Amino acid sequence: MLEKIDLKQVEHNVLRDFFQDGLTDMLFGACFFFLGLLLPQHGGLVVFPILLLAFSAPLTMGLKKHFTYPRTGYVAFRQGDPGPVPWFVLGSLVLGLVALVAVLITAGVIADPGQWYRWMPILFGIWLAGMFLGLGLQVRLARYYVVAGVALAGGPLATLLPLSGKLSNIGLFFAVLGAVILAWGVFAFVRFLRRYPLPAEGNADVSN
Amino acid sequence: MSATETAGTDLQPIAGIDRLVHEPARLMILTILYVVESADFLYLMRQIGLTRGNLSSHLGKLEAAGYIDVKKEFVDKIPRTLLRLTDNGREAFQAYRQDMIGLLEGLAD
Repeated sequence: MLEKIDLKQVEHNVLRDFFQDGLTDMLFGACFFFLGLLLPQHGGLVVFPILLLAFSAPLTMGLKKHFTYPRTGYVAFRQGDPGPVPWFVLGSLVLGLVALVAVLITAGVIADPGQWYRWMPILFGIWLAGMFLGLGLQVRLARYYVVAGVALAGGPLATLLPLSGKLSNIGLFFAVLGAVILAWGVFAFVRFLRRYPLPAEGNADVSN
Repeated sequence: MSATETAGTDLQPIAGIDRLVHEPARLMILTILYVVESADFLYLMRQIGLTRGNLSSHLGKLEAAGYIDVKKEFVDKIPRTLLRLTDNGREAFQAYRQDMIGLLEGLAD
């Protein structure tokens, strides 16, 4: 018997194809990693990873044009219902803010606003965990669930570590999370290149 | 007496199914193009698993019917055939879905 065709599933498959080359992960991982390295010591230089993040969309498309489309073909997504990701982003952000306020109140930090930065890894951990969980549900790639888990566990861990320096904890959080995403992106990219070699010269798009 | 007449007039709607959409390879092409904005020849070939000639033949039929728009272009001196579902194609796909759901739901087990 034939399986039922679910158009949403077809959409998920198309989205999963978009992320399977690991290029998006490599870019975001590099942004987070350098943000984490630069934040504690060279605060002004964080402008570079932030710029990289801001221009990640055209950069990713440029890399895809060079590496991905000649191997697996070009596909453009429809502009329409963006799916559950924004709800997860919004939900995790609200949850993160609530958690942060709760932690700040119970820890008595509200009384000492100068300590706010100590708890930032928890906020970012919950927020990013929600984002990656949403992405994982959307594209059905297991690596995003793992990254969500690392973000969720890494936030409290980075907060609890007794590090000196105002931004050391949040810097460590971003550096470790960035390294995990970057490494996984490199692995996915190498696997993609091996799995999909370039078609023979002049054979890439012969439709007639 | 034809087969449909023998079976009675209740089966007549089956004859109205869009045969151009009904063919499995073309239905796969239309399904993918229905959920994306556009895709190129290589992408469809990989997704559907057809040979170049076979895919090209089906695309030609869909283009002739006005269901898809075929645009040939060069990206960095490499030829690319970009395919997009037209409004007619989208309507035909939706109508086919409705027809099939309606027809098969009415059948007894």
